[in-house]
Amino acid sequence: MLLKNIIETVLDNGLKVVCLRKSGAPIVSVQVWYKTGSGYETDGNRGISHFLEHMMFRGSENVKPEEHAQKINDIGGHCNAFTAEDVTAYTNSVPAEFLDMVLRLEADRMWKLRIDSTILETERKVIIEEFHTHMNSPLTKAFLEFRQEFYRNHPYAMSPLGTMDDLVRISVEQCNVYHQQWYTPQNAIVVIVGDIDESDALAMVKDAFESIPSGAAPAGFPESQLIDSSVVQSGAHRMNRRVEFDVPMVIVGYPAPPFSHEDAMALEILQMVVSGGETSRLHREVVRRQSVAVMAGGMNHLLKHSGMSMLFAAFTPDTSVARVEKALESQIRLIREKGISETEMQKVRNATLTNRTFELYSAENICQRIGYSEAIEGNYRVWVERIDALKVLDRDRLIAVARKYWDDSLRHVLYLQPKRTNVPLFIAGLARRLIRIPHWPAKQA
Amino acid sequence: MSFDEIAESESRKMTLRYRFPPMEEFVLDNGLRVILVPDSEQNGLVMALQVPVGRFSDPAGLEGCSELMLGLLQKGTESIPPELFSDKFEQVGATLFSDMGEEHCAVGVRMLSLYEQDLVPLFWDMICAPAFKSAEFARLRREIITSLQAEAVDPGLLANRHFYAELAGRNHPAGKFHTPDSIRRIELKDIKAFWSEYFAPGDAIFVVAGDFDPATFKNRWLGLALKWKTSAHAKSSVIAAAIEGPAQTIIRLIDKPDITQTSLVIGHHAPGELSPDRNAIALANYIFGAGNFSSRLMKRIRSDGGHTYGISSQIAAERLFGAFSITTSTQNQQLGFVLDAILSECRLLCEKGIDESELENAKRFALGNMAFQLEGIGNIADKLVWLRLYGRPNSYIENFDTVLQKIDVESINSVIRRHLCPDRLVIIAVGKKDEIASELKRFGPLKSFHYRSRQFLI
Repeated sequence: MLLKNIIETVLDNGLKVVCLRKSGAPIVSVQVWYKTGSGYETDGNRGISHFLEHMMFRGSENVKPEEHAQKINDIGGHCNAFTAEDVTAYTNSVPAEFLDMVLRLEADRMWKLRIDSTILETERKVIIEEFHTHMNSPLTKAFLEFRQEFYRNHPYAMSPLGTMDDLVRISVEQCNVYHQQWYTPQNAIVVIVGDIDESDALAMVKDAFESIPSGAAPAGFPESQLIDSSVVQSGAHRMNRRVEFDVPMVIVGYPAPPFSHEDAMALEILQMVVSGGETSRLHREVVRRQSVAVMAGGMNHLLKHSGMSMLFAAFTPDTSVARVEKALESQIRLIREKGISETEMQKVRNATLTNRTFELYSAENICQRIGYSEAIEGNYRVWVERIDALKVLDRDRLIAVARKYWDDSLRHVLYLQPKRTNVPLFIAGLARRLIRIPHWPAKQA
Repeated sequence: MSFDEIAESESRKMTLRYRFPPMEEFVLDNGLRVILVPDSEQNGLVMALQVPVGRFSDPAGLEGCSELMLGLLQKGTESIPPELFSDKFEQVGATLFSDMGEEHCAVGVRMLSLYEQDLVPLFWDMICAPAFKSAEFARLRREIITSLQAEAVDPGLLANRHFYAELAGRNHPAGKFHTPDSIRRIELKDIKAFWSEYFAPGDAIFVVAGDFDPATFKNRWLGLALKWKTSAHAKSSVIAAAIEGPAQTIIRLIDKPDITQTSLVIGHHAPGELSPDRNAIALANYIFGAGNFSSRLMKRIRSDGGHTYGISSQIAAERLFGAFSITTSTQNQQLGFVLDAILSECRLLCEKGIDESELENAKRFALGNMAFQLEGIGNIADKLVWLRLYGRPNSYIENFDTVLQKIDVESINSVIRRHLCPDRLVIIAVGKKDEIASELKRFGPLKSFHYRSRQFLI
């Protein structure tokens, strides 16, 4: 019901504005989404989207370095930003009476960003620290290598962190060019959700943003590098990494469709059945009944132009990785052959409806969903109407989608093998097998 | 109008007071405090039960007992087998949640309100008659051990554990942790005994918030809550004592040769939640390190120096026990510089205190932030159990502006001088010993352990 009240407009300069009045708490969330990210980078500027995200907090014509965040903190609000493959988003949540101030802050850095070379050098050090923080995690490091192999020459092969070679070289000029190219009204979406009057909010948006020139039309995704997701990853691939991490893990990745593809929702449902919660296939069969893994799960990472459908399992050193992979495979095979039950389908519908209901209590969550859907799917209404679309999806379609995407001949596997054998864990695992801890029967009343 | 003009004019009309929605509150004969908060913004329902027992009550040598108890509680009841139990919640899209604290724990469910009739009886069956099956126990124990093994290589978590181990010592509940060894020592009978002794309705708080009718709810379901009884051999939960902290600065180096950054935790003892200085300390902490880009630490170490991705300070406060800590990470070669800068900020705060405008900003943050803490039924339920845990009424939040008004620069600086001890710090550094040991020695006597050493964690 609440979402029927969403209003939208496009300013003369091309800026899309989506606005929703939500009572409940006297707060407002304002997010600005730019349709650019690491997927739009080329060699020589890998990491520039994320670099610029940092520089957006380092001052514009009317705002001193860090003042954006300080002004928002000092009224009890919070702000942040993130860079992904297809989008870079700036998020602000403040007491509702400060909406105008937030809009002006965002407009100033959209139009009048000032990149100072001294500050850029300081921020480069911060970004390099962030890079090291991620790379000091053996799991992150291994996964980034896996992802690079998975996407090969696709723009998604590199993560938003970029490469150290490029991070140490990115210049003021490169940042300015990137900002002028992508941070334009016609490549941006402003989303406002909160305890506000919509017409007042739209007037404030016009006042703050209307004078910004529309800029050149955005160039779009690097088409020359854009390869259809179905042929991005031809053939299975396997990667073994010995890591400073004590729990053996296996990650299986299948090529998946873009987020806006007609098969995406079906694949999301399949993923929920396979890995969502204690009643999921993986938890019930692989963890509980077969005791092959200690934990098992999965997720679909669906982006604008391609994606990866993942399953993973953590297990004890006394279990062979082959056995774990076989257990995961057998669950996928069952879905491919027999599909899912009506009970499982209903569970997914109920879980989705509950998640949606609880999302609507938070202005920030609604903002996030609208922004992502508008930026990636081209229309936020796709998100709004997803609950209805789910009602009419039939189970035969799910089998077809499972067969199409969970194809073992395209499977990529990452095996994370501990560098060091954990003797106590090994003995504990062995003892568990010898004393045969009982499993719950397959069917229960 | 300029930004400053806008900000200033808006500040003048800044909301100072926030109100909880109407609610009913009463105590049942078994001691359970019940709070019912009808809210029809959406058709969701949250039930949260907070019991005043946490990790600090774990028996010596059996650390992890409370966590296993809370996990097992959600694995079926005497009359409903584990898989069927989770089916009944997940089939209707509901989620069980739990949270293990130091002196309290919470378990709850979020669901669509139309399933109230199906799930409320199940919830109380879980509280009053958990199954505690041996197979579930074995599986959960294995899961926790695996999680601990996975966490054992995380520099930030390692630093945090060593900080509390050094600060509180092995004879204080805050200085003890569950480890794979302590988890392996726990038997199912220990869990049952722990549950029977500590998991009781007296002083527990049950909050229901969302789309429901309070009168109907009371008639239908409170009889089930009354079936929850305190056992004859009940014990009081452990309330950890405040600590004195070290007499001089102590440094622990945790050698982790495979990393290029050093993770730091620096701090000392602090007053607990019930201290009269609590609000002044929170404001001072915001100015010093908790205020994100408004904090002094963030400005000096990140914004001006570029020496870290993030730095913050926090106050962990139980009823009486508390700890103040600064956390950050930096590349090994600049560790000495960062430590010098942090210590100099500590001394500066202690010697010169804060000024009027910093205090004003901190107060505005504290007041403005209240609005977010009361958004949605989940946050409202959380806030209510937090308030009642410390015996506070709703007016504590609703009149917070008057509480803050009483704190002035002079009083806050006096609190800072009383509680901040820049020369009695515990400094934990997790990093590559070969590259950081000599730098660390500049700051005081150094103890060094390999990161896999468990000797000093329990």
